[in-house]
Amino acid sequence: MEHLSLEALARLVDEAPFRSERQHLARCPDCSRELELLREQTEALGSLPDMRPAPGDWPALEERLKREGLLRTNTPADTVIRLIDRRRGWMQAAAALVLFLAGGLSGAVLAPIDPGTPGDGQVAAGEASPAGLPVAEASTVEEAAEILHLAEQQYRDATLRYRQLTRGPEAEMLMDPRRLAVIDAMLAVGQAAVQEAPDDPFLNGFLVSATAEREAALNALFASADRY
Amino acid sequence: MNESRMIRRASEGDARAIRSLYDRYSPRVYAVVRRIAGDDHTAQDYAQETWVRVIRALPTFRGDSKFSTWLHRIAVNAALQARRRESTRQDREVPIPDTVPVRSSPGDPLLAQRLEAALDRLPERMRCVLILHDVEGYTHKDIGEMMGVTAGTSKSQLFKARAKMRQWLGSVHEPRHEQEREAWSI
Repeated sequence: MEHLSLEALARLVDEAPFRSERQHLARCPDCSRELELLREQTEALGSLPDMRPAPGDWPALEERLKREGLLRTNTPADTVIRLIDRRRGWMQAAAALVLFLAGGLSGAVLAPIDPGTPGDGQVAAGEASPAGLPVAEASTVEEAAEILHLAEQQYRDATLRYRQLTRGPEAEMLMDPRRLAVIDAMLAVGQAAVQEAPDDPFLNGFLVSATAEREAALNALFASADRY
Repeated sequence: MNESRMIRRASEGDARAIRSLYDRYSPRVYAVVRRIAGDDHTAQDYAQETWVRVIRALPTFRGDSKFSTWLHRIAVNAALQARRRESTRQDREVPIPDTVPVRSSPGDPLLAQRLEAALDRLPERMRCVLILHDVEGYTHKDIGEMMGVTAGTSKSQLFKARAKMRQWLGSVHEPRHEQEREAWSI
């Protein structure tokens, strides 16, 4: 009896046999057995394990990625982000406030502010908020956002006023461009951090402070330029 | 860190994220390029080339497919293109241990070792088709596109490769295989 070729049997691993092949397999135990072994071989190939590369592969790859400018070392912002990664998941509602604040802060930084005119949100004495609402009575996200926005605005105004009244070495310090560069860097870190953890109150506070400080520094620099 | 975030950071060049992706997927990448390459030294070059391509292309990854699928395809293409660039490969004479039945259970280290050795010994085109189809699960259409051949050629090479592997790994028809060995001599 003439057997089926190995190639023909290899085809039958995943294809239907022709009638003549089916008839042969039905009466030839050798070819049936060979086909079974080919199927087992195919199954074994599909189960081959992954392979771990040699330990020296990563350093070589890392070196090449650096050479090609595809890999950068971690910045302080990355470190902050990694740290706050573990603190996510609380105060979800505050995320909306961050977006709200970001718009307000951008406008405030870009628009000139008359330092002699306090912001609209004057805080009344006692427990009332700048909007005239007791803080504890803010019952919606929008009300809380409004109170926070006005309080932040007042903080900025107060900072500006304080800087105007400050004289001496500190005033000179404010006009140092290097200081502005440092504040810019801090602001970038703060923005990156808040983007990653919009519900973190400490980071939001840090961002507001850095923004106010930058504004004060810019005003000091502009005022200095006007004098000349 | 979840994968999408890791991918985003890696696309920005974040060293830690890139290392995390590498740690997670390098065994998968190395396995496929190693089998296509046929030896460890060449495989290291292919693996490095794959990762450089992956990191370069990360900003274009849109998540339409699974990241592992996307990465795997880049690895296969990098290895196949590198092979095409190289001069005609000299056939290896890798010693095959004494015949051990293929019937061993999946995951059997000895069987895996014998299969790998037999794969290395296959002529290049047969080896690539067999790896891509039987090991990696690509269709003949995919293989045809990746290798620049027709689906029919891919099938033909697959059947030859399976038969040759079977011949090397032992057969119930030893006399017949002796005869076929002559016909298939490279």
